[in-house]
Amino acid sequence: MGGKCADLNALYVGLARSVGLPARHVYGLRIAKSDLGYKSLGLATDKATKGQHRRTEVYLREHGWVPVDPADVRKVVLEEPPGNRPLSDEMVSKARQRLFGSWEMNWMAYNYAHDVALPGSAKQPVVYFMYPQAETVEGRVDPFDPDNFKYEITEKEMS
Amino acid sequence: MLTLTSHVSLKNYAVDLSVLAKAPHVSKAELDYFLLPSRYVPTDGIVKETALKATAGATTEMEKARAIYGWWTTPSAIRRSAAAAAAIFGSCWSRAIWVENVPT
Repeated sequence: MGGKCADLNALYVGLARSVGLPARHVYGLRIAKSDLGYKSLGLATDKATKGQHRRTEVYLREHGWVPVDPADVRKVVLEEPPGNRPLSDEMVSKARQRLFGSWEMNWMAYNYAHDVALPGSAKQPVVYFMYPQAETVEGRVDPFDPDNFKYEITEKEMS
Repeated sequence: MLTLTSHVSLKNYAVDLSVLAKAPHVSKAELDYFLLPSRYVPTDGIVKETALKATAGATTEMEKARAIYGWWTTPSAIRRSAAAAAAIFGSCWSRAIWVENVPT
């Protein structure tokens, strides 16, 4: 098992804060294909059920909140076909340059929240709120257990 | 069954880092809040040590932010990221950040 956006961009936040740079997690969802040609950074179909993606912002006094996404650089390296691309690869190098300072918005943000107490719930706060959450009389349903908790997210572009 | 429909409008987002624009005002309270450690993202110990190593020689905020970004996006760092994350997050990494919340 490898790390995904939720951890690598979290590391950026921790590292930045520890040297005095304000930084925040931005939780959201990929909802369209990438217009920049990255198969790994967009949806292939109209299904966004597994499109959850966390990005990061770091605050620099001279520029304000700056969007960054080191996790997506890693995704291009490892997942952009044919996979395992070297840093010298043109697509990787472009992604690396682009993902410090900009976000392609085939993605929507939900929130900056962490340790979220769900309304009406007596359970522990969720670490973050990016996946559907539900509780029954038997307790909290595992959002990653599709046999017990079925959900589907679809998207449609409107003019 | 419950259905929720959201309508969103999206626009690509970029900050022109080549110019020193006057950044929009952000309150001190907001910046202080986003410097705080949280339950699963500590900012002391090995996290701080790692960040200090990654930003050695960097003096401006921009250099520091880029150095941390660069540290994470070199191929060797990317490929050893699982081990590095485990080291950085200590006992909380697997359960909270890597396992419970990351679908495989």
